[in-house]
Amino acid sequence: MPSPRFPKISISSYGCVSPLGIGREETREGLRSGRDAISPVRLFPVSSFRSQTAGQVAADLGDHAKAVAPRSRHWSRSAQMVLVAMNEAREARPDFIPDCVVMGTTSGGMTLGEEFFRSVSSPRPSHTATRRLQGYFPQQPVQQAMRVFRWDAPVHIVSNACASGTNALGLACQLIRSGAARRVLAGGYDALAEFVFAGFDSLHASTSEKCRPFDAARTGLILGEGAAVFCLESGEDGLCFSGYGSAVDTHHLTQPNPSGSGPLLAMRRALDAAGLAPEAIDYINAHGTGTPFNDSSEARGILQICPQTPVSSTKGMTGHALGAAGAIEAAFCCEALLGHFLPPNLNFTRTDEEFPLDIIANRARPSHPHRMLSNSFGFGGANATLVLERHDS
Amino acid sequence: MGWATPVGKDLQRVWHLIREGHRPDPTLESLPSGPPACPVLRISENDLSEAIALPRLRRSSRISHLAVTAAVDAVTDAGLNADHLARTALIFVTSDGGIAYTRRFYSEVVKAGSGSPLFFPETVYNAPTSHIAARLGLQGEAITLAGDSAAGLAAVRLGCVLLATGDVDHCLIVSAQEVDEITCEAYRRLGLIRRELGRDPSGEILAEGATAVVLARQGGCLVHCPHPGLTYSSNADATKQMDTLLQSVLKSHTPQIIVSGQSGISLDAAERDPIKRLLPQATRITPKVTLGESLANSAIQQVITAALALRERGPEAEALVPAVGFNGQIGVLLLTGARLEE
Repeated sequence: MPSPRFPKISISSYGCVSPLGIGREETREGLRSGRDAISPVRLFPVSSFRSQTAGQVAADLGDHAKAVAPRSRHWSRSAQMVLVAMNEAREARPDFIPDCVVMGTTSGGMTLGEEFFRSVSSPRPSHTATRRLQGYFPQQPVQQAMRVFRWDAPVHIVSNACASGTNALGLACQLIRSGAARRVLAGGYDALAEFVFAGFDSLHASTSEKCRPFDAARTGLILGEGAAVFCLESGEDGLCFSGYGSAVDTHHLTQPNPSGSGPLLAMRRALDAAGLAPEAIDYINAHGTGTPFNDSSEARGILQICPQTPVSSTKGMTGHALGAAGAIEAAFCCEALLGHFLPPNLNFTRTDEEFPLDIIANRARPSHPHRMLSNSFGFGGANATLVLERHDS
Repeated sequence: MGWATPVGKDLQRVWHLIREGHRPDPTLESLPSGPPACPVLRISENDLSEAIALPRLRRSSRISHLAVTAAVDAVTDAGLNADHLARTALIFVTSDGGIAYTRRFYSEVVKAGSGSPLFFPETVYNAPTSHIAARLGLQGEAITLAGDSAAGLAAVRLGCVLLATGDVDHCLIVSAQEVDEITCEAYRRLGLIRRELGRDPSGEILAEGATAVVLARQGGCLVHCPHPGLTYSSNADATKQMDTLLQSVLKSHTPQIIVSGQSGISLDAAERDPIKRLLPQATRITPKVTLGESLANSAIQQVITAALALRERGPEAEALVPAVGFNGQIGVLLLTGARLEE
């Protein structure tokens, strides 16, 4: 195995907002207990859609945001999520001032875009919709939150569909690795939006049943939302990113190559960058959306490189948070590394005979993991993998 | 380098039009809410014919036709072959993405409760990225950035970062902007669009466009990234931040050429005033007079314009490319002719 090409990037602190909880403590408990955080959608009407449920961040999100910045009560939910996650990361590392901010998102401020469209289509256009339109642009929720902390670093928005969060973290590591930045704030966010809900419904990708990643009876995905933010800098104490791999699979705009070549290439590149053999990996946090196409492609990729490694997708608990998923799931990996367990793959009933993976079915598995892979894949053939490590000093 | 602009695709011809300050006539397009109309600079279908004919792009949105056209032209211009492309990263940058399909899909959802599965996949910001990768056979890092015009400069800087890691030998930077009726309406309501052609010089003219540049470690113009860029919170703050950026440039450079990002809006002052004070002698070129406002794509147009200007001025010349995005981001790049004779 070659020596690592990728210097370790230290995770100085992080914050996380997901359907499992607001903040790391709730998140860890939710992960460890395998809490099902899927609930009926309360944010917009869903009666015309196949799926009626989603993983939603707690209704008191606004109160948490207001406690950080009173003016945030008028902000979009995206901005509130970013603010709360950013604040948690900052509280743990108050002297951290980023040179650069890299965030992933898929839908940005789509809810405000929807509001504007409805206003334009209406005979009496709303001035409020126009005023709030600035929030449609995907850097805006991040900039709003940064202003609270008086940070004026440049904001780069990565939008690689559902791999955005992982690509954003990878790009942040590249900035540090190349010497272009010393301290980077990076992560991802996405809030549930009617547009996206309708989109996955139109593709028959969402399910009216439970989300069952890697299960033989899987029928589709459930959407989710959230945000996670990491403070990154050079170093290898504690938690760190030690590898990143990315690949584009041009088989089809919405369907992965069934061979699993895209996921395989991303995982292989990440391991090569880290200078690790596949056997060194203790756990894979799979993209595992629960759709027939994604899971079979990903499983084939995993079987070709890490056939014995325990695998789970946390999307059965949280739903699929799209551009935020990679960042949220990297935070889940951190919790698992620190908390000595492997997160469960909820709603798992039966192994798919085509891919006999070691699925961590339904209950968290006690373990002492040191190295993990976190996979994210998306439309457009975006494939990205991060290697996370825990170093005991 | 390659571009598809409202005044054509030929690099030299478009450069001459920019240098002469040519002002093409925009079309006046009606908005869904009725008058007033919005001036738009469109691109000839003939300039996109190769991309439109690709089977994979048959149903794709216009932004993908635009992006693939510019990307193919840039790769051809750079003489990259399949071996080169195997070690080439792709960064695609856009402000509004596939906005026409986004509007059409959501319009169907609002009217009928569901939308067409043909539209939705093309609404993701990285759909053009995927089409470019498919057309060129790319398999490596492919990043999509979304943002205002400063994101165009950030894309170039991040391309330099990827080259610096040593993982790739080339980085293809592509930008594209399509213009839809909802874009016109949005920017009009935000007070950015020119209201009356000929009589009221304030306000911008939206333009379609796509631009691509290939970054390499040798040859061509040398790109300097003197500062990573900044976020601003108001027009006054933007002026202050531009001042900071210029000071960082002037520590080690004295650009003789400014390839301006001004488009006729009040935010232009954030670029104009500090430059007037700190670089009063520099020659200013304003591509948006000819190419219109194409947001993130405009910044890459500025980069190409700077490169073309440097080819004329020779290896000693330096060109500054500033971008004050309308949504909070601000950045500068510096190009020099130092490697032109390599």
